[in-house]
Amino acid sequence: MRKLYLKKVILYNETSSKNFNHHEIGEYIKEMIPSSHVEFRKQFFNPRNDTAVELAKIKVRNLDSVSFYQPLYGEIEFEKKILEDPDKASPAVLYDGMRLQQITRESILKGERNMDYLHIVFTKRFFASFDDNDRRYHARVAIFGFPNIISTTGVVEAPAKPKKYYKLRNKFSNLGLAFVENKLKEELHGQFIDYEDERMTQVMKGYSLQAIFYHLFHQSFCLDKNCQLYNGHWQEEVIHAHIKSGRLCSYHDEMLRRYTSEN
Amino acid sequence: MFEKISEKDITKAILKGFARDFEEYAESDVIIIGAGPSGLMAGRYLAQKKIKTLIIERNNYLGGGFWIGGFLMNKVTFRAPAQSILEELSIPFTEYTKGLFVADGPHACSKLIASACETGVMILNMARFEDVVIREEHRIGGVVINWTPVSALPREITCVDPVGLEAKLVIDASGHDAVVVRKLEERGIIKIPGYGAMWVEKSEDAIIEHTGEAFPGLAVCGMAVSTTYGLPRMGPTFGAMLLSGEKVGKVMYEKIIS
Ligand SMILES: [Zn+2]
Repeated sequence: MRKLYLKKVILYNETSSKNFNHHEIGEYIKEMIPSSHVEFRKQFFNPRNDTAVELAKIKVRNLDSVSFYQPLYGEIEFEKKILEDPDKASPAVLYDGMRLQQITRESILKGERNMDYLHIVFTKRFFASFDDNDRRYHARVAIFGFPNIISTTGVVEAPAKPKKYYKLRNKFSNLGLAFVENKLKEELHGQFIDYEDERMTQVMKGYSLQAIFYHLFHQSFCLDKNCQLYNGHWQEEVIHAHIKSGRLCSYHDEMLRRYTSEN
Repeated sequence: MFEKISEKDITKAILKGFARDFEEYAESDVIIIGAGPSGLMAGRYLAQKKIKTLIIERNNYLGGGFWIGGFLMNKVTFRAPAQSILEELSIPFTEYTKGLFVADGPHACSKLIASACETGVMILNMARFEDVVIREEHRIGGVVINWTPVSALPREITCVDPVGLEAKLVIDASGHDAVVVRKLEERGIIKIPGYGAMWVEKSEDAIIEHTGEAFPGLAVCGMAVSTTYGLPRMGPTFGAMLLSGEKVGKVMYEKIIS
């Protein structure tokens, strides 16, 4: 088994949401793992000429098949804009998460491409991963590994919202988007994580812990619904694990404690 | 009561007027396919800037789906900041809740049509887009059109040959059909995606963001944007259509004067 170690955590924040504070997440990580150093960076990509083309190429084209092809001129131009200002990333563009991770991996500085470093990229980009079991893409909040990519859009869009949300949406969709959105906000206030949600930083602490557990112990999930490592598929579960509970279960807490006492 | 005028004079007046315009617009700066809300906004913007602009519409009426809102009810809704365009077009509206505005469909649509026509944009209705004109190395240089009724005839008697019209830029404003973009795909020049992220309600912004040149010489606006880029389909969102039309006008204007 490889030696568990974590020298430095680098947090990249590509969003400019006023309700997401990556410094607060850094503080939280230092609290959980006092031996780690945390560094903050703004942008992740150091775009080479072909990065925009590569990113445009890995868009999910169909939910039920993995197929990539030459992007349109307009798609490449769109990616160039996002590389300049990552905050412009759109929730309507879905990327293949594994390939996004590959492309981001190549952008990591040479000296920082080893297991002493934990890279966490907070992005507005929205991604999915293909599931070989049901042969479909599923939206994700995070892709763990090297680097870890956590999506502030994913946490809004990937976990399923309360059933009532979909009922209302179907009922009112003919009356126009504007009407539906107002209606949904009124009736389901607080029951799901929304864009610019005040709870965004708190939720992201939990996903950051999942990235750390994946890095140190090769396990990022827990079956205990009260544990921050619980892999919630419903907004209600996400809110429960990260906001209402907001802590690790005793087993995982002990695991982390043992690590910090040895390092 | 009316002046006595012979049948032949009427015929001549129609023919001459049409021929003069048609000849002048055989070569335009911009050709827009589709006279729905986004196409009209684009044409209005460009013609205001003295850009020679032709709109091709397959129906005899203009305005596309802008006459009617959800559930066939003739109220149309807009989200801020789209009400600024309503103001600009002198369309009366009321604020339903904060940031959500309601207007009368027929009133809004007819105002937009009139406003576009007053800028001097040329409109050819009852004409259908058939194909693209491709200039050098994969660049769109115009369109091929035919009369709408011709396409409704049985194949063996469709003896009316289409005509080609040239332009520096073409805008596909044909709605979800995205007829120009689809034609490029049919010809194997590009491949367009299926619909990606079905989860997302927030695709209005994405429509605006993606509005612009999709392929050299061809821009997209309105619902054609969602087909071209595989953005999620959505219900009626006239605000996004109007803003997208205005944006494509701006982008194409910059392109032409540069
Ligand atoms: Zn646990």
